[in-house]
Amino acid sequence: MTGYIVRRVLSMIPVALLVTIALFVLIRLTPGDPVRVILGQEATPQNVKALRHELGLDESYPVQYVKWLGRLAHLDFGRSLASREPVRKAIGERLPATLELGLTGFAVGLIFAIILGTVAAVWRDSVWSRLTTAFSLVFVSLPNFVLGVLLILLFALHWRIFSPGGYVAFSRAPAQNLRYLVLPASVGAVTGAATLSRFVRSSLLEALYTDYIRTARAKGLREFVVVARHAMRNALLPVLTLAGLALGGLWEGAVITETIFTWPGVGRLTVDALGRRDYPIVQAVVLIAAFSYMIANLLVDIAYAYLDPRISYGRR
Amino acid sequence: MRRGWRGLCLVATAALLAACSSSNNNGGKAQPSAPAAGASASATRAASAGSASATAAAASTSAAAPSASAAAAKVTRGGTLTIAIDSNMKNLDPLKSTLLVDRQIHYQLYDSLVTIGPDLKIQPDLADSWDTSDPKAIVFKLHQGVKFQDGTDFDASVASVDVIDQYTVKLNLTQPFAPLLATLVDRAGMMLSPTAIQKLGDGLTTAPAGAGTGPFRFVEWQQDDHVTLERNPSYWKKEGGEQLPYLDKLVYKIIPDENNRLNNLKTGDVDIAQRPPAKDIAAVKKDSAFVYKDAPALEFDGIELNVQSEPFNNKALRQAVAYAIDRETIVQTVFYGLGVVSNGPISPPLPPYDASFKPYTHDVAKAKVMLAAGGKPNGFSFDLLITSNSPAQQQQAELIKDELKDVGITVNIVPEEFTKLVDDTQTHHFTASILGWSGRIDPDGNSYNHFHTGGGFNDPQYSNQQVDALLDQARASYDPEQRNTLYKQINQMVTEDAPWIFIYHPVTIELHTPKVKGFVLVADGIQRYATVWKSQ
Repeated sequence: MTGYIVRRVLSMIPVALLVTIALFVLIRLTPGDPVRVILGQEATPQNVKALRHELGLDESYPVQYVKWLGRLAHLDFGRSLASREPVRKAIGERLPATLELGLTGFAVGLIFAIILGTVAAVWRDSVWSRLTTAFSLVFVSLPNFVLGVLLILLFALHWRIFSPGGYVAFSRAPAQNLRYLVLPASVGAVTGAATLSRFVRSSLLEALYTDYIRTARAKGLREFVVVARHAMRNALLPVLTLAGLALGGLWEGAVITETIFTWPGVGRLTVDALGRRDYPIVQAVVLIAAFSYMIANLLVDIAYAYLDPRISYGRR
Repeated sequence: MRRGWRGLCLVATAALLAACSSSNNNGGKAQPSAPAAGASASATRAASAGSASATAAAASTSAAAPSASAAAAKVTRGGTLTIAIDSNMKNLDPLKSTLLVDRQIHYQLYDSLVTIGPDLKIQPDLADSWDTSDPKAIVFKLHQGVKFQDGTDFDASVASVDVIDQYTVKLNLTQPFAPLLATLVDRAGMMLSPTAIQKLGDGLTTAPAGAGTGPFRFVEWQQDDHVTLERNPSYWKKEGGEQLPYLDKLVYKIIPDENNRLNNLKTGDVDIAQRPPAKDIAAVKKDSAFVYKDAPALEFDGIELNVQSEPFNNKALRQAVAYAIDRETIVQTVFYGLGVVSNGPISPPLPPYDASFKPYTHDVAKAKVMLAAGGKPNGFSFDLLITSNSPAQQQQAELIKDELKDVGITVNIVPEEFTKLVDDTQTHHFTASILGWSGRIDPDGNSYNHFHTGGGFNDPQYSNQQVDALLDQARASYDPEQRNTLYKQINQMVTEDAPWIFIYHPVTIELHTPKVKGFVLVADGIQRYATVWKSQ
């Protein structure tokens, strides 16, 4: 097991390097000049040249890349081109908001996915099953931004229950924080529940028709025990993979949801930074997102080994 | 390894997705005051400074109740005013900032030597009076007894210029420069406490506590979320014997999405919405839940033409384009009627503005005559640069393309990312380019650098010695009447020579709930809250 983990971690290094190169090149291929954005229409060519030099953007791309990598090795993401504040500080300030929103949505979504998926699988020909399937289909098809706008339209503008967007730190005003949290977190939760519940259903259905379940039933175990203890544990394995990926994908959701709901998190920071061509911030955020994926994958694989005794990574 | 690759692809997708949503965000910002560009443009085309008097009060008012003046009604003190603002701030140090959104905050924290009212006339502020009898120097008498928010006395030692006595300073100039006073209205004239500068250092850019003499003092700035200011209890100004300001607190909620700003106003989460979506203005005007007003802005927008290269080195061909474009239709359809047709760089709020000067009306026959006069009776074709991801510009360009087709001119629309477009235009690598200028409160700021030979923003490389002479003369004259006459002439000559096809001037908008009173709309687009109050 330990050997496997070490090998897995080592294999992440070339991937990480490829990510940094792709990222570095892609952002610079995007048309737009950060120096122009900062200085604006009023800048003279001399101003532009001076600032470009000051920011180190007049150096060749390979030199810039190597310098960036060198700083990364010390976990230094550099400074924002626009605000000059350290990137780590900029992200650190916004991270709690993103985590609160993302994790709440994810957790609620996962819980609902398991409940809905189980209902649909256990009572598989009932009206409940059809309803949950319909729910999944509708909300998997509905893009985040449409759902977000619909929620604002209904719950903020029509019924005036929640605010159309905003944020206040939980530590400062817990009740107000939750009021702001409900709508954007619902977007993540509904989308997550819709996607994952289908996998819970199919996975559980498969498990319910296996021999060991028949054996368990034959032993006279209560149906609840059969489903909850025997079928569920096996059925949740593939769901875990997807959930892990979904967790890594929190960043994607953050970009859209935070923009719609004026949520001051990393997603909005990214959108703004892209608009300003603020390379260090974009690079840092995307890199962190890439690492989240890699780490989520790693954890999923380790969790597999833990949950399923048949999976052994000792030799391969 | 396989999973790793998948992760990589997803990351790339995420980045692209984010790129799209960011540009959409920019493009969607078809606000009346910055249609040429979007977010980056509103950021860059910011610093307004200039002077003179005008007719900004000629505003179109909605049916809703106008905000009563503080003197007329019984003022309610206290309360928090929440403002939906369109972008995160960048720098709260007025000497380092370049953004319009920063200035919205600066104006609450700091006072300047001089200020302007809705008529754009220079008025005393921290300087009680000034003397320009020597054209190469201005002597200011400072207001006495003013203290900075950190307790430091405001006197001549604060200004980094010649100190004559404790309350008199002198600004020396290398040559007469009439727009100087207007410049001092804005950041250049804002007075900062030397104690605070020393104490705060770089902190001045993010948390300028106590640094100004203004009506409000800094409390906090949560990046991308809000800025909070509170009442300066020892503010030096009064209105009709009443101590200013009236409000206890200002909260700026940073809401980049224009629809969301309006939504927040509808639900009562904010009291004032800046830069509301143009498409919703017609509905907002009819709704008694809102107070809406607008006034012509200082900005001008249009098409820059490169007068040093084919085909627009030919004046008649430039004029042919000017006659062929139906600017009124553009204002009504693309910009929802929120603006007026432009006939030159001198915008409506500026005193030399001449509403009767209308050299180009939409006239296909005349355009054809000009084409023939220019030696191209069968028309010609040219590339028109526009900002990519701006729906408003795309629409505008399509309309122009259509109209020019009627006279035989073919337009190739070339969308470019905004900063590239600015770069190409400024380095003269263009034939025609849609751009705008945010405008200044002195006519010099709308004309000198744009139309003087070799001027910093003279992208078309226009050169007319007569215009040069008039611009120099107007800059050196401290006589308002003479300046008005000169700028009228300049405006006429430039518009007739047509190095720019001037298309429209947008409006500055005031939009809030009826509870907000005492609001004064100024053409520079800065919202000043010293006299604003909120009824219960």
